[in-house]
Amino acid sequence: MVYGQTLGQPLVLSAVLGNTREPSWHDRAHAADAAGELEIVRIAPADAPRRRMRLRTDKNRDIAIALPREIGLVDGAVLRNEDGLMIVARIDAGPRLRLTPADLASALRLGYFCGNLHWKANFVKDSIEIQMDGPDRPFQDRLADARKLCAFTVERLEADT
Amino acid sequence: MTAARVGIGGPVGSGKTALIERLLEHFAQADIEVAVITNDLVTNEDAERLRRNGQLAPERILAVQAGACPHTVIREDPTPNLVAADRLDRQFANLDIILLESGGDNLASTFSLDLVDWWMFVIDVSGGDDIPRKRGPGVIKSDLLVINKTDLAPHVGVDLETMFGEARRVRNNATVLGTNCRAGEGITAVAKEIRDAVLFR
Ligand SMILES: Nc1nc2c(ncn2[C@@H]2O[C@H](COP(=O)(O)OP(=O)(O)OP(=O)(O)O)[C@@H](O)[C@H]2O)c(=O)[nH]1
Ligand SMILES: [Mg+2]
Repeated sequence: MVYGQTLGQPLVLSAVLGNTREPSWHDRAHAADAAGELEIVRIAPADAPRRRMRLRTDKNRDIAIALPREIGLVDGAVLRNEDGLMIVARIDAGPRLRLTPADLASALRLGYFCGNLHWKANFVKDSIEIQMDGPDRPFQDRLADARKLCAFTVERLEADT
Repeated sequence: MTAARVGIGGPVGSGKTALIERLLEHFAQADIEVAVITNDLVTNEDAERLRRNGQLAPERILAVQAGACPHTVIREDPTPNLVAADRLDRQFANLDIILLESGGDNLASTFSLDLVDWWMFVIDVSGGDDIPRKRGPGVIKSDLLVINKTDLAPHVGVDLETMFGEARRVRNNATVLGTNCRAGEGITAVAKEIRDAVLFR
């Protein structure tokens, strides 16, 4: 019998045991992979804040993630490691747009503009990095509007940089 | 496991509270323990209505006033709703689910996933069958789109097939369900979506 797959019931994962970035977990994941006992669950960056999710692993196992509120899901999280099955979450950074304003006045306007659009933003040195949670087009359309207000450059960053 | 958190958003008067009333009937029959948080602008109208109904113990219904645009407390700064949900979690250890009704808003309103695990958007047929085509973020990004008041379609000149077809198209075939909350039609299908997605039973 396959674990947790009786009668359409998902395998429920309710804790984060560690992270494959820690050397000991890295080694265990490597060993599990070699033994064919590693399964990966891919999670879109936009979905990562959810505390409950119904997903499938790369081996098509039906899983349900239900984490305590205070635990956040990050790339490399180990969600299960028992009975010959290790499950690891993969969350790539997703495509982003790095906006770099040309001067202080542009920076103020650009920041205000992105805020009004409720874009998810990270501030990295002198740039704003916008997390794209959907197709490029709507972002490009809005940035075309912003160009009428302020000067900035745009760089598209791919998923896992 | 703390209770699942499910958001219910949508335009003013689309039937969010009516849907909650119907879902409460379903959950009661299925022995699913529920609490509700309502958001209104500057009153506690919806919470008081739910308390009057008597489907839930009054202390399981909390009201949060947005004070300004309702989306501010489900997206930009959901702290008041997070505090209310944490309080319900502490007070009722056996809760399975907390339903969170946003104040009626516009088609751009969306829930922060820091607040809810999953959310649905409720529109109704009387807004017109071109509403899905306008690609509001609520219509597009929600985990489930509910089109309510299907009973009114003939009275407002709406072709349901067109409306549902366009809704599915703009959502890239993500789920769209029809309900008539007045008559209690389509509720089981909505409840099933919630149960599969976050209750796992
Ligand atoms: N005909 C019909 N009327 C409905 C249906 N669902 C709700 N209504 C009516 O629509 C009106 C608004 O319903 P509510 O449940 O209060 O809507 P709401 O979305 O919670 O409203 P706000 O919280 O104020 O945004 C009420 O008069 C309901 O009786 C339905 O399926 N059919
Ligand atoms: Mg209401």
